[in-house]
Amino acid sequence: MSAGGNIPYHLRQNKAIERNLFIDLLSRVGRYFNISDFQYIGFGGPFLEDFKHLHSSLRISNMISLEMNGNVFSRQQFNKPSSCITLRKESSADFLNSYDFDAADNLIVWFDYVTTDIGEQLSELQQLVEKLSHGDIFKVTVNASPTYLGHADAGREILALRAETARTRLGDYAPAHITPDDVNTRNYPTLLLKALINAAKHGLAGDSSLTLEPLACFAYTDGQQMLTFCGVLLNADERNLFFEKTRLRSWPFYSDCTNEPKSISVPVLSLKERVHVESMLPGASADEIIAELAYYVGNDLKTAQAEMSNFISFYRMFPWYSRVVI
Amino acid sequence: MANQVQAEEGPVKAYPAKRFFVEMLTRDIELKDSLLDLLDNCIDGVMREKKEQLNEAQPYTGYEARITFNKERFTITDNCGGIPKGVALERAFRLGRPDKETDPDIPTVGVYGIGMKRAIFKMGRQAEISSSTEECSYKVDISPNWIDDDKNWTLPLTETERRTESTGVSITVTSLYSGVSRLFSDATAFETDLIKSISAYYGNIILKGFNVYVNEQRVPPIGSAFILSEEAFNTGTGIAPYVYTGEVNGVSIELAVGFYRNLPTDEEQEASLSGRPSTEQAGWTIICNDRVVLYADKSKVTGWGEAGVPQYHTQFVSIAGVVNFKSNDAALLPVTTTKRGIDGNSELYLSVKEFMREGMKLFTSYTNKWKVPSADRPELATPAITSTTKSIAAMVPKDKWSQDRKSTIKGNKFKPILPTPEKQDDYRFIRFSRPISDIRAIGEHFFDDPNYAPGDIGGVCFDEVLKRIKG
Repeated sequence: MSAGGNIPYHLRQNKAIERNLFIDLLSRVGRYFNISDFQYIGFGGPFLEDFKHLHSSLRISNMISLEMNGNVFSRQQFNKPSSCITLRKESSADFLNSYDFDAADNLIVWFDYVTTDIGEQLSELQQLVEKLSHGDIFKVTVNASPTYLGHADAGREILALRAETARTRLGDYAPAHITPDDVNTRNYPTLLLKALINAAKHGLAGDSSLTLEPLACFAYTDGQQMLTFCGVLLNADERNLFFEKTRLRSWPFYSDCTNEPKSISVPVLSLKERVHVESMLPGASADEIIAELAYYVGNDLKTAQAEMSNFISFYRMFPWYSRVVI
Repeated sequence: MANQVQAEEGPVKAYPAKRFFVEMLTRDIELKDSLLDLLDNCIDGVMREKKEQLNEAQPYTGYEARITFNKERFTITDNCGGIPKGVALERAFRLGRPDKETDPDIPTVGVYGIGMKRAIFKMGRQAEISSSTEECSYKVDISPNWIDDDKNWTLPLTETERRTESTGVSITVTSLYSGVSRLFSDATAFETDLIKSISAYYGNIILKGFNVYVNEQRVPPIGSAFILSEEAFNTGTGIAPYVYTGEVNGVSIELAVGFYRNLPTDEEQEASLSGRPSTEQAGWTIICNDRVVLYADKSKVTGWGEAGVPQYHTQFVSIAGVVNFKSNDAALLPVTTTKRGIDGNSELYLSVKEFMREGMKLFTSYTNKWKVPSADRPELATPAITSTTKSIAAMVPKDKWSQDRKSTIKGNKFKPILPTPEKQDDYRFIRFSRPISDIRAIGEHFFDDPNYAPGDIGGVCFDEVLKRIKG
């Protein structure tokens, strides 16, 4: 958490889209559970952005923020936007040990990790799921850049060595088979997704009434490639009713998380570009937009096409950033 | 009067109750392990088929077992020869093997004749076992009624049309118990755990050509691997495993222990303390007739923490050893009925354990000597070579073996001379704690990386100051 303490979260557009998708998802789950009575637990960062958002759009009014960096914690005390947020100066690991989960309401927990210590994060996920109960929703965001597996100077052996390191780091939660193909930038999020689901499922071994229902998973890159996974704990016999009421299966961003996570990165457009592109929407396809602009936005055409398609899906959902002088 | 009563009561009942097999025996074994028992039967089938070629490098090629399961049913199908009808009628379905005479000349894993039945009873209350041999095809049904009926000790066998080219056995279990059904529904990631177990326990057999599929995924093998330099074998000094081979009372023994990976970093040692997940290759793996019975064991059973060997600790995470026992009479092998453990009182095992400890100590003390990182610490960064105990023993030059005179086994051993630090300077550890922000600042200053390992950051501070003092 400490390393992320000073990242200007509010300026990361893909993260903003992802946050909006989360709110969208929760409001749909709200058709089944009374989501505004849930308690939210998350890493607020210096601005407690997510907390503001959840409070205003879903009326969630019982929230806990976890922060272990003393300086960021002081900033949070200054910035605290609402009286219904309890600030705890604590790491997620300590929180898992100290918090009385049995006395809590239904929970929405989002561990939005910024460090790259995937092993610790997986074991925290298992512990978290062990403590959650029926109806609780959890979400984890982890760094999914395979460069952190190291071996940068290994030449052509790099992927084989990374696969070896991934096997060690993911440990008991690793899928049975990790090939060098699984640890390239494109496929690494899929590998981590399997490990996350594995860890969460291990957390259910002691409670036979609950099953894990994956709801969404996304990969996005604001500088670093990140993976985010969200699920809910249900009783096995209520699955059909849950999906019937929430109509989540017809939500375009729903995923049962058995395939690769959906990429939600959008192109970085100038103000002028964005106005122009939005004037063609809804209606235009990614190819039409690129043809109309007569250039592409991104490193190469293929990525640019994919990102423009994402823009078409998400343009209503992410904010406009501009300079304000007060 | 008293005499009359005696005459009426007759002998006491001493025959077994079915509950004993259905409810009690099944408690001694985990589901995963009882599924491995089913695979053992497949392997024993191959051994019968390939009796003459078992010493070849790949005796199991072409044979496979396919396991599929979901929350309603479990099926395992193999092409390993099937159960001859005569054997089925007389003993395959009896609860326990009546004699020792089955397969006297094959190194099977099965001994007690309980694995298949125990696995079925562990999973559910209804089963169909069908078998095709060259001679005929048939099926045997186990029903919930039969399980509940304490009087009925026979099962109906029905001849069937042969459905496939290959000969083999197929077992389907339904009416699964709720706990088992939950595991098979994969609510707790059982599938991955099972595949990993099969990788470990069947690694050796898969490497010899057998194929196992779990829900259509091929199971990858995990074999043993050691870091070794050819030089070490020739000159006697360098990194190489300790090797011991011998034969006693019809059991052959091959043992190798050494490093399979680089020594652990500070972070790894820390990580293991905070309970992070780990891979567990370190420790002893014991193989009986190709079948791994103990995998990566780090307990007293394999000599850790007794007779001068330290208890297992992350410092020793690079040390792994394998012992390979082989015998045509499976009852001579030091293995428990669940085949997932060692009979710790077996005389044979106790004598082998002495060599396990001797070998292990070489490597634990090596990690002690090189605890202090120094420029002349030999790099263990070379990749380990996947190999069997047999191939390692074959690599040791003839004149480097020494004869073991003391033990009952009278085998041969190769004891590598591991490099020792040239000058044993007095070293001390320095431990101290400083604010993270300061550590990060120094990390950035010296390494251009605020996240550099704190231990190394501390080290460079020390060296810099020392340089200044010494001029």
